Amino acid sequence: MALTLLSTVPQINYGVGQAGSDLSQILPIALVAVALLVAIVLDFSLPQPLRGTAAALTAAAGFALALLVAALRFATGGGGSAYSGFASGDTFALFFEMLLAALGLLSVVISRVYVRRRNLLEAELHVLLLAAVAGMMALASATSLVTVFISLETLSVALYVACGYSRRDTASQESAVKYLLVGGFASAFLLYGMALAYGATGTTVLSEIGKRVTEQDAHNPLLILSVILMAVGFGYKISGAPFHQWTPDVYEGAPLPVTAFMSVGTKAAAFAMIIRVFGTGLAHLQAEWALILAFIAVASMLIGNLAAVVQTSFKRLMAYSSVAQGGYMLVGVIAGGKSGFGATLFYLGAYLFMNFGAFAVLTMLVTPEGEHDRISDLDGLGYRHPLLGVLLTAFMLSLAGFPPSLGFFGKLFLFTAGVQSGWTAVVVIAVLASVISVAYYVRVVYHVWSPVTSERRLWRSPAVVGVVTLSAVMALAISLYPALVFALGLTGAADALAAGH
Amino acid sequence: MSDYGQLQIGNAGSVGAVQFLLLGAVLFIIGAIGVIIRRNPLVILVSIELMLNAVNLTLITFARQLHNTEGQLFALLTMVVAAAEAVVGLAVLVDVFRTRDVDDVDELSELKG
Amino acid sequence: MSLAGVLFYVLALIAVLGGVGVVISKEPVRSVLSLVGVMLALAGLFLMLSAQFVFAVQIIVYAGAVMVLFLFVVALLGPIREGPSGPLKLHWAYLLVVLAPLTIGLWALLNQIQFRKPDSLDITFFGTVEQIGYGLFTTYLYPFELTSILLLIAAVGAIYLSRGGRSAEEEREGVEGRRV
Repeated sequence: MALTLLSTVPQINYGVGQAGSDLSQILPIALVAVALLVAIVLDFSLPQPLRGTAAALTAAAGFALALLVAALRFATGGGGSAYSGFASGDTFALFFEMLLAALGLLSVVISRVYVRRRNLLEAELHVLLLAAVAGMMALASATSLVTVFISLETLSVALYVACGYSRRDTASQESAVKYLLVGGFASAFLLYGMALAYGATGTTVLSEIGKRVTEQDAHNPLLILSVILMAVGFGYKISGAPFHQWTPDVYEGAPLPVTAFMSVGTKAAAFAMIIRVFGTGLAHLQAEWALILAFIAVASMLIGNLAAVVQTSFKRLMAYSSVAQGGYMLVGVIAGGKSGFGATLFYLGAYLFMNFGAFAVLTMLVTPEGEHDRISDLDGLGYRHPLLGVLLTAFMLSLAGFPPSLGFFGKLFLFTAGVQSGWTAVVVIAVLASVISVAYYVRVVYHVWSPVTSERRLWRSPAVVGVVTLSAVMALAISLYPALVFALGLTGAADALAAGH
Repeated sequence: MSDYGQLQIGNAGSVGAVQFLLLGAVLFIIGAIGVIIRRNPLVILVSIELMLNAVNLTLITFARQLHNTEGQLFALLTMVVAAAEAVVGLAVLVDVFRTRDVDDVDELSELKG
Repeated sequence: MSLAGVLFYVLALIAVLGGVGVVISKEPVRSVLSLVGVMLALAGLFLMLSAQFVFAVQIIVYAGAVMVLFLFVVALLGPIREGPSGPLKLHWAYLLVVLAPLTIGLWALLNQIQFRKPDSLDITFFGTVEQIGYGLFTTYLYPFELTSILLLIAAVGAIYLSRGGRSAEEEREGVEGRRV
């Protein structure tokens, strides 16, 4: 009997060559994971004073290597599917891996500045950032529902802890509790949707689902329900209205570098996930999911922009702004196709530098007692530190979408794609919503250049100025060659689409 | 309903897959109601675990109905995820409860604005 | 009704009662114990669905280890009661908006499912440890490896959060931190 049991299991033919080629497809993720392990080992083997610096250097090295490898692989045309279709090293994944590695590098610098200023432990924050980036990269390269779910949870678990990082700060603790409970709730919905999709198709590999789902399946109750449940889960993860209530509280309570990191990173990874799952796996049900996402997009743009107008805290303002920005990006997703997804990828790249730069400016106002994130704390910043004032102004105007800023090009691509695929009504609402958004972005600029200077002494940190400047330079570089970066986005989108057909 | 939906249970007769799926749906909804109406963070965490368990039942039902091991593997990995989430969730809650008495999510109101 | 049918309804009843118990218990410890009941009932159902390995893991790891952790935390934190609930604010709106259509949808939709044709009809070896092990270390290798990062970071995070409220400076001086 035992022999027959064993004979039901086929021979395993997984040689070194196969292992090497699989690993090379996920090399950037593997590098970040190795850096994570090294950082943990260094953390408990080095004497206390060296730990923070060692972890920061390890993290920076890991991100830099991942960035380099991803860029090289992107330049040589990207790879393909690996691990029996569970992951992919295509240009879509590489595009996000480059973005996330760059985000990781920037985050390491402001995290280090922040924890030293607030007198917190340093090494653990870098470890958490490494794990979160590894999860995000894995999510962008995931081509199976299982991989999508596990990597999403990896990044979420790392961020739950990161939100509660400032442990003596009750706001930070509460932020962690809220994020955890809401995140777990959303994950359950997403998982249920995935389970139903598996039941309807008999596989979790997205490209295989794409082949098995046909036009007639639009009437399959399992798939329709699955799309609804997954859309609810996605809605929570990108903080789209009406699932956005947690966003302002979590963003406000979390330590500043964590807020800056997750506002951009989670959004990028979640959009990668939406495009993979809906765009390639359930491409034939586009009519159904696009409708639900269009509803979320419209609600996010209206609610996000209107609520942002009345905020007095810069972090809360940016939280509502990110709800609205998520709405704009959804326009590209519902438009679909190469141009729609390409526009979303371009906007994500642009958003990374604009948003992160704006948050990084706030690091200058941190004191050992806490953060000073009221908009009035920015009073007179432009006179006290002209460079930062100018850059923050540029970020705000760009987020508002003033021509010829980066945000303007991003919205142009998104809205063009939307109109071309017949979502004119949604685009009209998006344009009107952008007009509302000018009110609060300009209010920040007004405070930055108001002659009343707040008494608080500005703390000068060359590292932060460097990060802000770098973000601005990157944003400027992208806006000088928008077509070039858009082409990168299109390449990525085309690769993701190719997997579904 | 097609015949594929009847699951033979050993020699003890058969049960419809739909019944298992409905049980999963009912448990999922009970869990979701718990998350929404309860305000003790610990009970909310327990309710989330209940929701994940309901999904596991759904996955394993589909695995059996499709004769496909993937559903069982997915369910195993889901258990890992649920365990990791529980560990971090409990650690966060202990951290919060230790510093002060909070037994109501709405008491976490410092962030309301 | 067949034996299998009776067994199903008994286990289903236990699971649903346990689920209701999780939600309505005033004491967190009763919620946790109700969840253990649900898990054991579900383990029985898993066995009916030829998932022997998952059945064992569910009892040993999930109902056993994870739930003990919950009980431990409940015991550590002492009796926590929910105060008399005030107005529930948005909660009821949520309940109606999210759950009502979901409930109706699930009942309506699940009753008319067209099941997909099974991959094979022979289930003699279905769900055995061999099958699970083979799957886990071949096709599921990558997600399986990813869970190692997940568990690692969960452990690191839990240790960080529970190491006592020490600041970096106290840590450097090796001072044992006190609770605030």
